Amino acid sequence: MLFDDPTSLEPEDIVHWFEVCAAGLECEEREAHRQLGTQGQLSSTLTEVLSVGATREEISDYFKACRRELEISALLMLTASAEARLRLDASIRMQNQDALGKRLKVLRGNARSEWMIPLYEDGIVDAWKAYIGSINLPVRADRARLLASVGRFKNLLGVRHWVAHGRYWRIQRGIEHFPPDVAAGVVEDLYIALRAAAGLEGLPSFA
Amino acid sequence: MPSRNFEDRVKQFAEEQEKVDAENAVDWKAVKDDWIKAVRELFDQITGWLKPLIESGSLRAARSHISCEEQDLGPYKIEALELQLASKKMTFKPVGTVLIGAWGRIDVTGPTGKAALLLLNTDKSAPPKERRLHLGWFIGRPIAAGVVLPRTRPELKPLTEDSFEGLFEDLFGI
Repeated sequence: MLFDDPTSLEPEDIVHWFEVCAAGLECEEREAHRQLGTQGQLSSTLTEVLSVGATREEISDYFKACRRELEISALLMLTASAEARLRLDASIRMQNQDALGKRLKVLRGNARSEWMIPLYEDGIVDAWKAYIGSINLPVRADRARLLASVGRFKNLLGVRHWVAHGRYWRIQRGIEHFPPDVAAGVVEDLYIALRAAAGLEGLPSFA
Repeated sequence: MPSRNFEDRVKQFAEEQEKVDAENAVDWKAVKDDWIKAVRELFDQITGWLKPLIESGSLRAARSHISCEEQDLGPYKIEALELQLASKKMTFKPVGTVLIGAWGRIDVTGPTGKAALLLLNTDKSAPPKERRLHLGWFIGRPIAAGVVLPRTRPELKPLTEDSFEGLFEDLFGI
């Protein structure tokens, strides 16, 4: 499979996959538009989803909705890949005796199993935030920038939970705020911020 | 200087291609005229079926012209039909003729529901060029604006006086 190894999976890999899938959708949409007014045979795939009598606009609406679903899938994969990276990094880091390692070890002690350690609230990401807050930084803006990069990732998680739990509640913000390239940028910024934060105190780099 | 053979080959290709293009060209004006005529004739038929009710004053039928626009046809005027039964109304609004698998569609909206009238080819064995010569109206399920996601292919019922009466009763809630 494409994305089996979370340690080597980069956000841009997921964006590239998204673009390939989106290009496939565009081909199908072009084919559907080509069949308009010709009474030709639609492919069996399109016959299942496009009603007899569908207009050009309805076809476009359908494919727009498909693209949005694909964007949501990409967003889910991006956040899930970040979660895997954070958890794998934490499982190694909690063996260290530095402040961050100790915080993570406490979290592990409070959880019945490793995967039950919370990711964000009172969890791995909060441990990183506390660590960043404790670093002795001469410029205050640097700390704010690092924390902002971590905070932006939290915004993605709201959408990730909504999708992963079957969207059974109404989400406040629209998914359009996070097209895959934007979401990938947020995840990349998180990785960069965590690497920078680890480097400031001489801790092992973020995985 | 291109060789004579090359010139001949290019000219021959261009001539053949022009023939193919001419064969495949769609006469959009004829498509539009046929569509406008098909709608007018359908409304003639429907008001004919309803004539006794209209003459007795139980039902009012009002035909008007609405504006439509389709990418291939441009803007055009086409008839719409409104039936009024006491305070309740049923509208027949043409949607267009450049569609998937149909030569025309009219959305029907009544007080209790919606339906689509679809102009379809009735002779599946007809060659593509002759498919427009074998057309008939069918009653289909409404097609939702926005996302189109039918679970199954819609059931299509030929539009006859009987099936129209069923549709009339269903959408007026009689």
